[in-house]
Amino acid sequence: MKYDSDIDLLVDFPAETLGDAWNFAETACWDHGLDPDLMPYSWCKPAFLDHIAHRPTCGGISDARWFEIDAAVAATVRHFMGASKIFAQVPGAEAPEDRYLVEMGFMGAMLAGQTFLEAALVRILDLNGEEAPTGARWHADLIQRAAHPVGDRPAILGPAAARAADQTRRFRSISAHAYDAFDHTQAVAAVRSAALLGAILPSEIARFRQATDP
Amino acid sequence: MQRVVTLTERKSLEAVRRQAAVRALEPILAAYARDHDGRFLLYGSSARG
Repeated sequence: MKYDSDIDLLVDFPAETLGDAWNFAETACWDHGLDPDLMPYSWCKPAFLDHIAHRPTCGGISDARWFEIDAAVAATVRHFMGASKIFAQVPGAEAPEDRYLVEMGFMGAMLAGQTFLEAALVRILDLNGEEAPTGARWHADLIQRAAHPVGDRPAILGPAAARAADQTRRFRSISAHAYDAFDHTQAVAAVRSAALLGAILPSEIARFRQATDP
Repeated sequence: MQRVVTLTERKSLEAVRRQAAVRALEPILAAYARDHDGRFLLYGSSARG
């Protein structure tokens, strides 16, 4: 638990007493100097309830933030694999209008993939009580951090995944800042890395989770 | 000269205070749930201690 952690509570009561239970829990948290984050049990998604169901009530529960991390990883894979498919259409897009649509679509998908990858890594750092890099080079620093152990935290990404993430990170800079400078050579290298990440990222994250939050 | 409490120390002390508060809160919530036919599920970092 961190210095700024709130207290996450699911409130599972009959509908007619849910409001009173909610008020009781909220007031009790405040009385103890805690910031409550309450949620009715009935509002939760089935996948999250499955996650919670295997844990005892009041204690010993694994961190629910893996739910958002898994979603970010899935979005990373979807966008990077989508970018690979769009890039395959570049040779056939000969008309300037077609070329524009394909190139912009490709760069947008690459940007989205990298954004979700970074979101997943930042959430994993937060899960481990580790503050994310800041400053102008934070995109590059985040990949480097993820590639190395810090304290008793193992590396999040293995060497191959980290190299690929750094390659897509370089292309992200182009996608975000140089809309008129589509560089086919750099795009070829980036799309290979995107496809590799799409294939291995879920198992990389699963390996890290098994090691740190089995 | 007064000793300076570093930011890290302040954070650590507050984390310990919050952990203790959660432990004190658990039996209160459990008693209410028992009396009102419901349950509270604690999850996230506050459940791990």
